[in-house]
Amino acid sequence: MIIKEHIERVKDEVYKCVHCGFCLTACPTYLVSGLETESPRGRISLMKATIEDQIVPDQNTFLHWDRCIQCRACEPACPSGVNYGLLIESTKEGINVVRSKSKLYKFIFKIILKLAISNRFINFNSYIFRIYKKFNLSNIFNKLKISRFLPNSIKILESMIPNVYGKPLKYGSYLTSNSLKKEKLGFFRGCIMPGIHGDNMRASVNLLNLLGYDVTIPESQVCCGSLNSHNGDMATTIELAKSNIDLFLKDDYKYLIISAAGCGTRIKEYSQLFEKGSEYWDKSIQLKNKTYDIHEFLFENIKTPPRGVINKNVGYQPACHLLNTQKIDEPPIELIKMVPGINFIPIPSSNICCGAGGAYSVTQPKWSKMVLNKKINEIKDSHLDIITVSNPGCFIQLQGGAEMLKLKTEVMYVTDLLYNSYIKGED
Amino acid sequence: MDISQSLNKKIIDIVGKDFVFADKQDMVVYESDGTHDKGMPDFVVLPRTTEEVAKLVLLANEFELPIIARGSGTGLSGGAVPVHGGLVISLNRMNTIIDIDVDSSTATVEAGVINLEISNKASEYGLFYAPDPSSQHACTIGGNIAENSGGPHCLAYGVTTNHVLAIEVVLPDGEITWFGDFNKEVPGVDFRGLFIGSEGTFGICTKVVVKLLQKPQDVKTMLIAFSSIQDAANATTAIIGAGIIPAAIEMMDKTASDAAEEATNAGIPKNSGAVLLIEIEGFESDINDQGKLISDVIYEFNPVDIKIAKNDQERDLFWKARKGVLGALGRIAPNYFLVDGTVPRTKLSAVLSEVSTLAKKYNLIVANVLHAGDGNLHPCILFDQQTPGDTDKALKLGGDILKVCVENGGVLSGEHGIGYEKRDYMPLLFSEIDLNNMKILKNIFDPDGLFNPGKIFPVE
Ligand SMILES: Cc1cc2nc3c(=O)[nH]c(=O)nc-3n(C[C@H](O)[C@H](O)[C@H](O)COP(=O)(O)OP(=O)(O)OC[C@H]3O[C@@H](n4cnc5c(N)ncnc54)[C@H](O)[C@@H]3O)c2cc1C
Ligand code: SF4
Ligand code: SF4
Repeated sequence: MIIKEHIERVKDEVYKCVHCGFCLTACPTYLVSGLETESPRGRISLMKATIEDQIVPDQNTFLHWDRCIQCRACEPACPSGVNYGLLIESTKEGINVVRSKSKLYKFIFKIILKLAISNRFINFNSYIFRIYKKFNLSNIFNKLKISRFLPNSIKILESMIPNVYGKPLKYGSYLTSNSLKKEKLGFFRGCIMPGIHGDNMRASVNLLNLLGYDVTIPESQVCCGSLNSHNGDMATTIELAKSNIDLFLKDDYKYLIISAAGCGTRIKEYSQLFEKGSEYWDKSIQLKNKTYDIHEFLFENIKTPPRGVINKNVGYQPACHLLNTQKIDEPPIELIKMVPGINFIPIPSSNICCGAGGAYSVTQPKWSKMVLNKKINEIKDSHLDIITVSNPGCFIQLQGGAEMLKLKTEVMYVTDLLYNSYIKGED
Repeated sequence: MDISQSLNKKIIDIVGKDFVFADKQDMVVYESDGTHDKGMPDFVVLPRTTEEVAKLVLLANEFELPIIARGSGTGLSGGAVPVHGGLVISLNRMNTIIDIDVDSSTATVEAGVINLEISNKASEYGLFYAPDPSSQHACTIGGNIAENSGGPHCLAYGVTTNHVLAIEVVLPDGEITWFGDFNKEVPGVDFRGLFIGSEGTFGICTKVVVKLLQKPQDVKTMLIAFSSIQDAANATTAIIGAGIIPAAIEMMDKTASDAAEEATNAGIPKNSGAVLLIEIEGFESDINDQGKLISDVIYEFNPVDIKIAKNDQERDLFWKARKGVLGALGRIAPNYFLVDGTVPRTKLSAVLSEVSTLAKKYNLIVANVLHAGDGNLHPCILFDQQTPGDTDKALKLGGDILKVCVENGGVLSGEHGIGYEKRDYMPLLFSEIDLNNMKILKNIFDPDGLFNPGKIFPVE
């Protein structure tokens, strides 16, 4: 029993759960369904039942685990301190081993994960998206009534094809012109963002330059591995981790700055992949100590706030992987409030995920949409001019939602808002 | 088609296939509640409307299937555990706040609404719903009705029944009716009062009208550490003896407060014998007077540290530590058996000493968490179900603690209900005549005994 073995590895963590139910209302999939099979406690109960031989997990059981967005909102909600991330990753690794017994699955899964971490593929994709949006193919398909013949899940996916902002972000060094030159930073490029959000990433780099840092985006960096570990492919995750650790531990980089929350969490948690006390465990802790999410870094380092006035009602949807795992809650909000003229309006359940979840919107389109619907309606009721985000997945997801409801609210990165204010203030 | 298949089909006809579970592989998640008790349902179903609930009740009658209402499954007496199988009706999809009436300060909500959601919504109008079980961000108002739940602030405000004006219920024969009235006392038998606290054995509550209160002007929250649990208990008795009724007086012993601190970093001094969390509310001047009086009283009991919450964040953090403490005990042992006995306040110190002696005798760790102001003890017996014999030992110790409570003039349950866990202790408190009268009442509501069987009444 492969799954059972995998869950047994984290048995102690499973038994830390006292089934108090405190995590239920933190969980986006429970909130939209009311089903305990789609709740953290339920998912843990299924794990417990597996190791106690009460059930033999089947495809249907897998579904309950697959529907977990891995937003980890259940962790801060849990007074017992259950490390749910560890549980679900180990379980998913087991599922992956079982599934990869099917040759077809193995084949498809391999290709997808290989592609997902290949820069060339991602750039290629961003061009496709660009063309798709530029020529408004969606409209043409609709006019030709092609979409009628597509299955529902494909239609949902089609509606989620992201907008593209500027040319892809290039590797290389971006030097500061600020006379108060400070240390050199390494910048983590991430996967989806540089291709489609080139302009936004350049704004982040510019902000760091403004603060006096030279920024380098080394070409030899690889994917952080979170897509792999979320889907239970630990072997590749470890390979990728080692490569990034060796690269960014070099003295060339005083700090490593990351602008995608999922990558940040994965990198800060590299130590979980290695045996305590081993060489790479040590190294991953060293890397963690010099790794910063861009928002926490900016918040700690900005001495002169921007001056350009932006008179708007602005809300903020935190990235789960900033809030729940890296525990970065206030810094993005403080950055927003630095901008003169902003009227900050908190949205009601901002601590609940928007349903983006890495590849979740692709692997579970129906559930992703359910979670998004709830979120976007709340945003609608908040009457905002701008909803800011701190992570590319959230950006794409919320923008898809905003277009769907034809909201007037603009989706914007916190860093873009900040940068706009700096630029405006220079005039 | 066998019976269960045809029943399954009929249930699907009522609620749709996405909201029925009939496979054991799925239903394991509905086997237990906040306790370690277990029972496998035959079906789990999630209706959306009162009418659907009524249809399900009729169907269960036809097939003579037990009916177990379930809210969020945070109960601490095994109340929602289907110990005889049956149809679990989960109210979690009936979670709409139907109306907040600011003029009459009431809210009308469906039974599956989460307790805290009511206050969240009402806070837009400066109002709140007073009963605040520690589980309030997870438990449903329907579950609160069934257990007549209390909470830290019930010391000043009273428990669920004091704040519920009317309820819509589906009776065991499938009839839909209202008990109570929206804004006045109803003459005649108070069915509303009878139903509240009936633990799902009289029917299913589907809608609730609750009273809302004005939020207090000002709040002061104090965290006071003592070197022994006796000092903390005696200080509690002395405060109330001096005629002061704070909004809340909560206590945690060393084991509990250390676990809570580890979970939250709220700033509770480690290694204190016990801490009290005291909250006072009202106008600023009253609060200052009361605060001073309390400080004077507790001074005699050698407090080792006094912290006053500097702002709302710190206040929330103190409460997070207190309200999450049961879960935090999971850091010490995987299971706890929580005894909910309540004793006269003056007996607190003596009873706590006896609890500690008993714990030593059984060689088990007991963490004490108390709604001290109410004399409501929550000794949590920590154990590991995986260790053979541990569970029995814990249950035995629990029984002994309950006996001590009753001997000291107390009762079996302060707020969590009798449910499955404490049913066999009922004869400790009630004579055969009392129990028979309760059964007669139960028979009037539910002659076929289909509603939540195996609960409250001891097995003969
Ligand atoms: C960590 C923790 C702290 C707690 N703190 C407190 C506290 O401070 N004060 C307190 O009083 N309790 C407390 N509880 C106990 C529990 O949260 C309450 O009893 C709560 O009211 C249960 O609500 P629920 O929705 O989870 O109900 P469930 O556990 O699902 O059900 C409880 C009982 O209610 C019945 N029921 C549920 N819904 C309905 C309905 N609509 N109609 C009829 N019957 C129904 C069930 O059949 C069952 O018998 C705590 C629990 C935990 C885990
Ligand atoms: S909050 Fe923690 S202990 Fe409680 S049910 Fe959820 S995972 Fe288990
Ligand atoms: S990680 Fe998110 S989706 Fe998964 S169980 Fe926890 S709260 Fe729910």
